[in-house]
Amino acid sequence: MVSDDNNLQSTTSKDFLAISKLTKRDLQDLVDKALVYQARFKDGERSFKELESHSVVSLFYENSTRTRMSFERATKLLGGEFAYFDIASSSVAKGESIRDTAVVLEALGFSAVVVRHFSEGVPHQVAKWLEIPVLNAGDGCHEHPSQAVGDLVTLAERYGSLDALYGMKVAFVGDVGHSRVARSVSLALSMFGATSIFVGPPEMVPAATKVETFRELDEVVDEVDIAYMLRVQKERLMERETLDVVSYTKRFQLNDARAARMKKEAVIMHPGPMNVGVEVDSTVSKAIDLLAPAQVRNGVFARMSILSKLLGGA
Amino acid sequence: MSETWIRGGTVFGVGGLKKADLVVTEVGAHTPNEGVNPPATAAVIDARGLYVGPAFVDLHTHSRIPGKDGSESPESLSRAAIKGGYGSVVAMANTDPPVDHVAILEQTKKRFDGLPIQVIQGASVTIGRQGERLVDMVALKEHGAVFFSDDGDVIASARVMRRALEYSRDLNVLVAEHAQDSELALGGVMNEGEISYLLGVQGIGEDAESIVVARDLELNRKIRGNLHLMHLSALGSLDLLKYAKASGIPFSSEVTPHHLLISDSELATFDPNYKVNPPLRSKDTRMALRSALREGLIDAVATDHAPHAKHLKERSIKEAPFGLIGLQSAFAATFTAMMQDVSFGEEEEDSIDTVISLIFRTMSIRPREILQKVTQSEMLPNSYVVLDPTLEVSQRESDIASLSKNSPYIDRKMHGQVVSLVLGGKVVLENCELQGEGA
Repeated sequence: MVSDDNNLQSTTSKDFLAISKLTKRDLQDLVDKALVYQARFKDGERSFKELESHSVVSLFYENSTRTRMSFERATKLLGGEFAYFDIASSSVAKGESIRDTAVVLEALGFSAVVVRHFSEGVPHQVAKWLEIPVLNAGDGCHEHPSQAVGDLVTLAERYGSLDALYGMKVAFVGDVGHSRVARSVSLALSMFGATSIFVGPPEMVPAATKVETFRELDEVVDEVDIAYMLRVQKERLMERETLDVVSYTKRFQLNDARAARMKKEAVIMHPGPMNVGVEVDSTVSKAIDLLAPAQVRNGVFARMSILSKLLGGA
Repeated sequence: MSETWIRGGTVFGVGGLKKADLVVTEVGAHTPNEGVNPPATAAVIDARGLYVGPAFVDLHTHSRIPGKDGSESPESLSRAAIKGGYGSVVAMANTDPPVDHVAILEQTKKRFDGLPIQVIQGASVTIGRQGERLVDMVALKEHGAVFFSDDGDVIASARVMRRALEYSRDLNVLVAEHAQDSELALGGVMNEGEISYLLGVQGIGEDAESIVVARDLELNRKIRGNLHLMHLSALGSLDLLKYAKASGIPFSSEVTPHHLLISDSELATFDPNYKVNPPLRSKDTRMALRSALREGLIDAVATDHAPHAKHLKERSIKEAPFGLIGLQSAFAATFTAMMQDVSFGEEEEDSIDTVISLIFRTMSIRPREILQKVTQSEMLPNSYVVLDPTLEVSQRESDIASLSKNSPYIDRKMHGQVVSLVLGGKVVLENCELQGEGA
């Protein structure tokens, strides 16, 4: 008779959808290529040709200036054109289905679509409907895979090689359950042998996860190699009737005192934008060990690498 | 008088399965005397190698009539039901507008006049399905309503539910509960568990269901109304049912084919056709639901057939509505699910017999008994279905009779095919093709 099903894995190589659909080899290749772009950029090169004659369009159902600009910058550095599909003034606002909208973008002749949506899975759905490559720029609380590639580039830059990640302990601190960044980055780091731990209150780190969980930052701050601080959205925190900002800050903020207890070689990461005074204090927000500026810079090279892999024929 | 002979099949009856011919007329069915051949005017169905039993009855169908988005029509509903082997369906009241007073009940019933299938129109428990004020159950009963439910939503107030159960006892009607605490389920899209965590999708825990099941059973301990628990999907609910049985608390219950066949791992495809409420659960729960059905702890298989027009499901899983269609595939899905559990020691044919008997018990006999208790009249004595359990089926979208195509079974390999259906002595489906009034 028919056997039990298992749909947890499937790969579509035309798209860039999730870290869970990539292998360690895929990630290593993307990082290597990004590092090449980084080096050439440092040497003053500003005009790359891989995306010449290509036009990429962003379909963002959720506001994001940074990620969209990073994709735009990457596309333009590669010689491509970049366009926005403006949701607010389009038929989407009048209730058009995602499929109908996506099909229009393909019909307009774009080479690829960069999708961000407040619901999990939308880039996966769009990828099924379209022939052209679809890039996930963040889907709900699911994944933000280009951020993860950029973070790997930053860590490779910092440590000289991704091999250095082997055996490292990485703490993700904050609203892990709702963080697509934490989901993608922890998955990517695990492929290179790093171990993730989650730190946060039960409202933010659900029991269903198999990852080791801590309810106080003090329990782990002196043993981690990377403290990955997640952005706390105050509005979201306020919605939780069981959690208050003062108590959260006391238990989970990476402040000057806690940072001083970290290992000497340890680094701090943050996907930005930072909420100074909540997840980090003002001292930490300017600390030399904070890789946040490098994360933004390398995000562009990571996206160049991803775009060039999908469209550049390389 | 129309008469159909179903010849050479294995017939499910009071004494179990046995090889026999069956003559179905407008008023009933009987076994012909040996050596007697069908008259020239009779229709004849060749059922050699097939199983024959009472037509299915669905306790849980969303007709979407009245409705505004074109998800289903009376005719498409009828065709889907016939292809699924159903002679009768209970239509839920969460229509647009809801069936919450006599005038709309009467109008809605008229929409189904003249269909070959029977549609038992349900009414809501509360006005506007708002959960606050009871409908006029007395007047609705006088106009034929026997099935009351706010399905789609729970009856959140224990006080309202208690009153509804009292009326269900006094009027001898059913009150059917969509057991799900709305606060716990708020914002949820799929089952809460390992998979929802991996996907970052907000979950609905099994406890959202079981705490309401516990409340309703306790309410019914003294009241002893006609409580029916819909689409059960939680381990905790099953424990509570055992407890209620042991305590003599009256209730009936149902499980859907999809909760028996598929689990929450399907959501990894982000296909909104797997978004259903209650959500597809873990494999462990699915196996426990199968056991509960086999052991009779759960009475019936009910489809929760929930059509949604295509554009409504071409949304994100967060925005798409809950629901999937199930009438046409109910037999294949249930049979396939229950066959997966058959132990390998048994002979293939014996195990098919066992599962087919279970199917007739839970898709034909128990649903009729639950409804007959409140209608006080025998249902469909003249309607029979012919099944082929060995046929492998893989549904294509173009095979779907419903106006809506939100099926989780498209391209899924299953076993079991509804071959023919006789309703009121007349053939409406033969060799999987709609016939006569059924077409």
